[in-house]
Amino acid sequence: MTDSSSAGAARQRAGRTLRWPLAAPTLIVWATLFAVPVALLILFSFGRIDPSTYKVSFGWTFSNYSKLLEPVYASMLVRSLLIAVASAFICLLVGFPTAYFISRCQGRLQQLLLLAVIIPFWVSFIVRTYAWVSLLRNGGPVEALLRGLHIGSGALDILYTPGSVMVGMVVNYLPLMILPLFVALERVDPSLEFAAADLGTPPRRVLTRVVLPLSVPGVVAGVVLVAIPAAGEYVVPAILGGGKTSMFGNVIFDQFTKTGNYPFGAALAVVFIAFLMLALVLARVAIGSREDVV
Amino acid sequence: MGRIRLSFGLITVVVLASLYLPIVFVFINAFNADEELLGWGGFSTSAFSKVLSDARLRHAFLTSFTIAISATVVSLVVAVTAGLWARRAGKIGRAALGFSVYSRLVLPEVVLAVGVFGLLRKMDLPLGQPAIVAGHVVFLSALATVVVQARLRTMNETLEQAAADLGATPLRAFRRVTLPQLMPALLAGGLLVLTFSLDDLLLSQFLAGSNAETVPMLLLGLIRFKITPEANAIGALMMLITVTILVLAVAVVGLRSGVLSAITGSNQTEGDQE
Amino acid sequence: MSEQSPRSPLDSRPSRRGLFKFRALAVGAFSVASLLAACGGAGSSATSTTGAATQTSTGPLTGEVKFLNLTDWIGPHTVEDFQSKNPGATITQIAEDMTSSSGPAAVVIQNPSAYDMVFLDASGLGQLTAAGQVQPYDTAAMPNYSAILPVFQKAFPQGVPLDTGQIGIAYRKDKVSEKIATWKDFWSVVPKYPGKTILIDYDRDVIGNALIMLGYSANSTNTDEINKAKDAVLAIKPAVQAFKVLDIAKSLVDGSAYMTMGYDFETAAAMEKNPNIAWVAPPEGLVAYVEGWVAVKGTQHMDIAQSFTDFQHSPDQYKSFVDTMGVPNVQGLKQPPIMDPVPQAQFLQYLGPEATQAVADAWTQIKS
Repeated sequence: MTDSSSAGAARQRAGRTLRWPLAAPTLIVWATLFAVPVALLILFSFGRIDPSTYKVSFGWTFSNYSKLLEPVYASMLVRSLLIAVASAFICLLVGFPTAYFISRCQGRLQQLLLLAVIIPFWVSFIVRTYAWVSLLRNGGPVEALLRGLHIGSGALDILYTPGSVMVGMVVNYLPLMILPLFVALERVDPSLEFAAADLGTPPRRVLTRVVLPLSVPGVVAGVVLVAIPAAGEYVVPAILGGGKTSMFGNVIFDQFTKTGNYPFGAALAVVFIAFLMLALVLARVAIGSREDVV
Repeated sequence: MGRIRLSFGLITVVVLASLYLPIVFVFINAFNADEELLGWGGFSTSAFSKVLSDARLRHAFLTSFTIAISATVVSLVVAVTAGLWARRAGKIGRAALGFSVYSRLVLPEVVLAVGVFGLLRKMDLPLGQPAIVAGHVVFLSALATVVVQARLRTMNETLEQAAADLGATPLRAFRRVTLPQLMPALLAGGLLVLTFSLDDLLLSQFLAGSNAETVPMLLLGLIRFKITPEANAIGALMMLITVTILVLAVAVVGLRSGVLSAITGSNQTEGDQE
Repeated sequence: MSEQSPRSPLDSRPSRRGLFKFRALAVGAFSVASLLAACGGAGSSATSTTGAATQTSTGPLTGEVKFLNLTDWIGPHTVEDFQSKNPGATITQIAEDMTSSSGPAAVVIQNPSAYDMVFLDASGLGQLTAAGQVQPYDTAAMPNYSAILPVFQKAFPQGVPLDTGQIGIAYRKDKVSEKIATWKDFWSVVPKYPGKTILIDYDRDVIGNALIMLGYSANSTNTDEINKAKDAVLAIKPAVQAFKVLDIAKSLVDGSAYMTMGYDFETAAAMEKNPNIAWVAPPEGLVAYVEGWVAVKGTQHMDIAQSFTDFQHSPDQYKSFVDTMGVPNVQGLKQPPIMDPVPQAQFLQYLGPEATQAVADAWTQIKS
């Protein structure tokens, strides 16, 4: 492939000979550790398990998929998606004001606030999540705090519900929402806001009509960054869901580690990927074809 | 805008408080003398001394760091070669790279974990540390690629071209010209990869088999039964280590150019800031 | 074909053939308690056979044993002490995820060469035996084995039992006005206190007690019965606060739950902290288990596994295990009365592949 087309300068030739060796690591990783495993999952999903030897025999049965139509799985599927989307939405709702506030701070304070948002992300996910069990339980610190602020009275009754799962998701994934929003909002020129305000636009309209539309790429990036891991989350529902608010990730995990039913777990994974692809296509349509936004 | 600013400021305070509430709680309970953690049983450092003298935990720490460092090195190599490839590649090459990065980033971890696990078992390949590193690299090299690419996009190629014109071999030009300019991105990307790997549970859980145990795996096993001061102490120790690394890195590369762009995947750099 | 013709109901070997006998289990389970009572002094007599010099093989032990075990479910210093006694031997524990009866055995069956030893309950042991993946211990060469009560020895063939327990009802007398004496009572009272009940996060325990409630055996292999039990659990699930692995009784102590289906030993400890907690062993039956250590077929280090297992049962090591964990022991050491097996206890057995899969499916649905 080197001797094709433009002969040209030595450096260009060097560049070309180097192209494929440079591409190799990525392509090898992608092919062997991404494409092949996903293909294998698809293959598995049409297979069958021998219940005593736990050996998978490949075949073309749709039984794993038809099993998914049972109401419990359908409701689990809907619940996973709802919790993921709701968590992303709540993250957006509280993340946007935070990101906006930070983006309008100056110098050192801004740096400090950013660092403050990032640091929790570097703290053990499991331990952070587990702390919420003690924090959210009835008679726990959060209940006391809310009572002290006269926000609520009586028992909190939130632990081990979809509500506590969402608390865990929102708090754990908030930095992933705030940071892309911050980047997007920072690029919004403040003079635009001043101009709108000078023209007599009320502050709220400035936000919704000027700032928000301009930060759409950040919003979409944030929602994707939160909703996707949330939909496949294992740790948070396992710890804060009380073992009864299972989500996609838990059921897939359990099929592989507890019941040993690889084919059914694979079918779940394949359906999950299909849903995600759909969601991502929609997100990409919304955001245009910007390459640099994750 | 005053009222809005104020309420946004308040929300920011609440957000930060909710981010730090569990962390503070972990630290407090790491020093709690009440083994059951039913209430505050007085100050004690016995959890730390217990944890530090635990051979299994020390082993897990070592395992975690070995895996994390290997995953970081491999991921960075993949990322740098990918980034250099992207600069030379044509339209199709770029699209292929973009797709490979994007698809690895969005694939849910649990799916990746069961997929790689299934593959290794099917091929009768051993589980353990190398398998975990391989699993981590899939996602983390994509993450590192985003960071490196962001940096490369803003880098000026004239210097490298000049080096080539002056007769430097490609390798030499890379080592003397490209690499130094890439350093901030490598540090930031490496830091991200390292901490993600250290904190990973799902992939490690699936790919460890009987040959490796990382700290998060040990923690989950401990915590499943009982949340003890020791579990909190392990969490606190891990936290101290990773945050120290983070702070050091921030001191070296600066917040904006490095960490921020690394996490957001944006092409934010010092260049378009100052 | 098996030399031990079943004298005790616990003795039914978990073979395919033995499956059909499991239903008779409930009928004869009474003998457990009487046997235990008869053997009450076994613990003290066991002290005469000390844990010293258990190896019969010549030469020092060398090699690494990989032990799939619940995290910290072992004497607090057993590994350390054993390794310092046998500098050439290493015990590496791998965290086991034991929240389903068939999971751990399935993990070993799918990858037997990766493990030397595994912690299983009798059902998992049966599963592993059926798959031909058990390496029997040479118990004659293990001096401390005789300290284990014969009922438990027989209930855990080819392995070495470590602990036992029962899953019954615990509730707060001061919070629940209804009287709870049977599983039917439990099932009818739970919905009256929404969000105040915690169930154990273990498939066979919950489904087994539901089977008993419905009048079936906890070891039923009938898929219809298993599905009925699943429906019964799903019926009360909306009122259930959580399924938890352990730390169940803690919620009774602090009042965040009023009722639990949980372990006897956790409840015993909780009762000391809060006198309002009552323990119920329903007269129609309750799930019980024996669990212990099993060597995996093909292990290269049977000598170490054997010596290590025997070491765990030496008087000091075993006592410190029982004291630390507070679990019902298999050596007849003194323990709180609710931890002694009751006559109506139904010990879990392996159900065979089809019923095991049915239980796993039922559990996946319950948890989804």
